[in-house]
Amino acid sequence: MAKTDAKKKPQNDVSVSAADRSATAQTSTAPTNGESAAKRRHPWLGGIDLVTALLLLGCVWGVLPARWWPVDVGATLLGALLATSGGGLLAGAPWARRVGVVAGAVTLLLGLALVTTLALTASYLSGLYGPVGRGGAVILVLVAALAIPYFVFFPAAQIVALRKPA
Amino acid sequence: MTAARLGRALGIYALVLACACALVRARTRIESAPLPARDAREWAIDAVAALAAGEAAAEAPASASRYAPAGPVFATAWLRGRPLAVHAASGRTLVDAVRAGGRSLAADATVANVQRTNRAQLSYTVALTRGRGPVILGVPLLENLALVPLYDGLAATLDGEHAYITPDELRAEGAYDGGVPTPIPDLSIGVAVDGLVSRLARSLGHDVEALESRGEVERLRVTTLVRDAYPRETAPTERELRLAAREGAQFILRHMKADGRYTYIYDGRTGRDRGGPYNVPRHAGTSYFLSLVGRLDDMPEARAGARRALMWLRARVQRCGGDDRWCVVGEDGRVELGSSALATIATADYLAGGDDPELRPMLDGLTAFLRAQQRPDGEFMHEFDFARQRPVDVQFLYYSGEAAFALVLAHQAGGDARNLDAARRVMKHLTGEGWSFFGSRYYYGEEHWTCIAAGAAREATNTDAALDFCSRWAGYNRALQYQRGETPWPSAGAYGVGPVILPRLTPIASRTEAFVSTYELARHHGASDRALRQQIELGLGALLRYRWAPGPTYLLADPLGAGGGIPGSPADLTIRNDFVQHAGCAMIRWADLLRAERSGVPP
Repeated sequence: MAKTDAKKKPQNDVSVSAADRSATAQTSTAPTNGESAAKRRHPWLGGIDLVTALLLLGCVWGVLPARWWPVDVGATLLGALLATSGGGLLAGAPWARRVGVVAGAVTLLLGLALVTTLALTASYLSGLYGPVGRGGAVILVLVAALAIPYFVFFPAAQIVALRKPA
Repeated sequence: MTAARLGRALGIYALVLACACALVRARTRIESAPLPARDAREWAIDAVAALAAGEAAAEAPASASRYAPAGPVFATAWLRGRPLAVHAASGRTLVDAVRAGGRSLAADATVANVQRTNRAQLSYTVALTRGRGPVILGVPLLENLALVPLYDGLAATLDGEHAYITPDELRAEGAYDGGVPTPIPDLSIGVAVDGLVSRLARSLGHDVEALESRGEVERLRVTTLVRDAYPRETAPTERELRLAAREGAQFILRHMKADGRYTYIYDGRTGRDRGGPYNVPRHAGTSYFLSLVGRLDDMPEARAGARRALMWLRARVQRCGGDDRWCVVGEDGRVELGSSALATIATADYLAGGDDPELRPMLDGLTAFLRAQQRPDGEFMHEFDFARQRPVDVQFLYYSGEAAFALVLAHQAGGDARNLDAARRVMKHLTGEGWSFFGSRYYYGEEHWTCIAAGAAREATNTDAALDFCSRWAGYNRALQYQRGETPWPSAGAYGVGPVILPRLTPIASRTEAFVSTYELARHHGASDRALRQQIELGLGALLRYRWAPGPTYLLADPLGAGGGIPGSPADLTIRNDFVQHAGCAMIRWADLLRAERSGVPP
């Protein structure tokens, strides 16, 4: 049954065998396609990822007054991912592009979750209390202005910049 | 993923989020049903009281028969500020619901018993449900903010049975603004909703799990009908302000103790001193208020009260760093600059109203101590190590401004040039290099004492820099001042940064007091600041609106004893002596300025 299925597989099927995967890995790790380590370097993206990682870890472990495992573990994992991505992109490591895309995607998803939570909370409070006043509006706009560029626009830009060339 | 596909995905996300937000807002919002007409409201109040006492209710007006309540109507019997019995009644019209509620109260054995023994102390209210809304439980902080203070109560339904907690019950318990402590001293927000839900579950004869899984918990928007409207809109005229300041002084004097101390925190729910540690700096500040009212409103009993309080302070003055230097030693043995500065302010103001050989040496000793605490750059050292007899160079909020004002008043009362020189130096520091850093034009601390000092020093020294600083500080606060309709409560004139926190009255009072000084200073410089004048009058309007005249009488154990007090916030049922002090000082000083404008004589 399995053999029959394999024969029926169309030629443009994207699934690959273990041998294929090994070959693909060799192709991407060795600079045989003309892409040198220097060309693979993304100093700006790598630098920003590293700074973001440091800020995130510094804020959570150095500034937050209490320990709460969902925040501590989540921020540490994200910080480690961004640091790895940043280091790899700075050094031009062969795996850096993929890790950078993953880091961008995870940051984007968390950013969207944060924006969603903030927006729904603001809507809930606005429904409860009515107008938020000038001071309240300034605070909401400030939070949005701080969160959206770093947690939405930048990771989205990173994903686009690091996507595989067509 | 291409840029275009990612952009499209984010665009769709934004659209879905916007729709979800609109849905959440619409679902949460309670559109309050209109109140019945005035004659129907008055009839309802009288009818419940009559029916609860076993008497016949008057004939209902047509407007009451036409009004259909949006939910249960609560008839409550109150005894000395406590809810004795709450009965929820329903009916097709207000008349039906009120009659049902009144009859339920009459049938209540507890109410009937008090009716026989203590009828004069009973009072009744009628509260109307005006809407319902969902409540989100289980999310920390959001859960605590789920009830709009003063307006929202809770309703629980399980197996066809109902239980309620009304906003008045929550106020009587002091449950509003107590749910979440904040890092700011004396400030907590929200309601401990989980405890209330447990209570509702218990009153339904079940546990919380049963209520949450099989029942429903909702918010109820409720309005209480009362004869004595509170809050009460009052225009800040000279007459109203004088009356309010005078009644504030009477409140303080009424609760003053035989030894010259004040009641530090008056609890409206018991009609008594709440107890706890006494606060010496606030004792001194309150004495200043009494002295000021005595002087500006010709109130000899206030002046006599101030003297008694100052004599109590005098017994706590000791030598600090030299025979000529006197400082106020706190109850805990600590010597902080603020206590001595405020004692100087009160003493100097008292002496400005007439000399007193027993108090004059105290002023000289206190000012010598203040001057000795000053650094070469003008700043003050805010503590004094009594054991080692030497200053401690630390700084706290308020103290430098208090010392500046103290030295200015002491100079006015005694003419000692050293006091004026010290005041000039600290003013230069506070309004110059002391508040000069990147961003200092966009952020300010609590500068009310600094600007009160600047206003008082206007005749004696160059105040150009002080006027610039205080005008900027006033402008900064103007941006934070609520206008009509910016919060769920009538908060025009209060200061705050969002509707979640009920406005506090003391910041309105202390800032308004300082803006009166800034206004006088601006006028001294030939400027007419109309925006500042509006800001002051809006602030005074907020203080007049929320002062207890007579206040929420059914929530007070002794409404007559509480009259004239100023609570900490619209939901607060306690009065700390400095709440009255700051509000009273702002009121009497603006009234005096209005009098001067009327008579053409500068204040």
